Amino acid sequence: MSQDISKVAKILTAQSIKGFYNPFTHIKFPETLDRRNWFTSPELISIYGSSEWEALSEEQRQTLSFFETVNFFSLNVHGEKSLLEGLSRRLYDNNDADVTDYIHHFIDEENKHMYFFGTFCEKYAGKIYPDRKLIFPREYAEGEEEFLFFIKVFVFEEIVDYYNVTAARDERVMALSREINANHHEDEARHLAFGRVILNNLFKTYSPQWSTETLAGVREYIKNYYMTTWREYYNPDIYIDMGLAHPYDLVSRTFESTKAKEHRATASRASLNYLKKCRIIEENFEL
Amino acid sequence: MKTEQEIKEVLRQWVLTKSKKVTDSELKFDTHLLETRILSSLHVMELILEVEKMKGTRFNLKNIKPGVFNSIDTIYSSFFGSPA
Ligand SMILES: [Fe+2]
Ligand SMILES: [Fe+2]
Repeated sequence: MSQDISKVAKILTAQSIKGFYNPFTHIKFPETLDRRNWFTSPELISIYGSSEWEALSEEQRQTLSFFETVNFFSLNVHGEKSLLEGLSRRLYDNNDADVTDYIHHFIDEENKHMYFFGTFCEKYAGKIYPDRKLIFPREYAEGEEEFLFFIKVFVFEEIVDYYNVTAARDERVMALSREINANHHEDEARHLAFGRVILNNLFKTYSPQWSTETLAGVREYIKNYYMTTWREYYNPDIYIDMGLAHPYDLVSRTFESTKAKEHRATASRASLNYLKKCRIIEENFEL
Repeated sequence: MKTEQEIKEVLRQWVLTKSKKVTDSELKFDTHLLETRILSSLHVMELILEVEKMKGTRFNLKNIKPGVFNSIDTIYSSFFGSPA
């Protein structure tokens, strides 16, 4: 590991210790929630601005904001679960004590987040929406698997953060949801910093040795991973729970709509710009 | 109700629109989709949605094994073949 990663890891560890909290008392979960509330910003709702959206009453839109939040929190649970698996595998697996120290905090914080997201879903929706993402084993060039693991973390956390920041700042959003979003953003700021440094470093270390096909494959993977990550924000289960007609067609129609494409471009811009700056991707792509 | 051939053909057309790595004449019902990287694991999520839509029901992803997506034949027999 390079010196700058050690340095960053050390700083982040100090910050994590300073911000350490007990997840079981940190956020209070009331027994019940009034669904006549905004659980997220209306603009973050998948079908926002569509004719289906226009046809809903204010009350239905708020109920939809609840299920969209359950989906957002569910996808966080799934993402954090595989993140924890990957991070655990990396504990004591490098010769940098500072990085190992920081991974302990990373794991600690992701486990806390999962508790918040999972508790919200189980307590108020009685479920976590299931995951449709399957990753099959394959072979990798040297450093490729490591790089792709951190790319997945990067894409997942960067997009989530856009939603966290937007909902946390929005005064229309009910207090508990704002608090979960704000708390997540606070911890994630450190993870994002770590993720960015490590990605840049891994790419600089390994990509010069990759074949043209490997590099092209990695770039293709990044694009696909963005797409797949975004797909999870358009979940037919939400529409089924809302009783909307033709939920699967609504998913494809919404996903392909200009409005949704613009939204994805906005929410992905900062992270794509970073990848481009590091020359990990050649050009920003359409999502 | 669609016949076996019809369902497999719908799946075949879906693969053709999603993957640029195979041509119409190359893609058979028993062509290996993952080994040949015609489909990446990332395509599979979309494929699951497609199958759910065709069947009109959700299925439990916990029971899905990698072999299920080997070919159009295996997708068919796993999800449409035997009565649930
Ligand atoms: Fe998290
Ligand atoms: Fe995180």
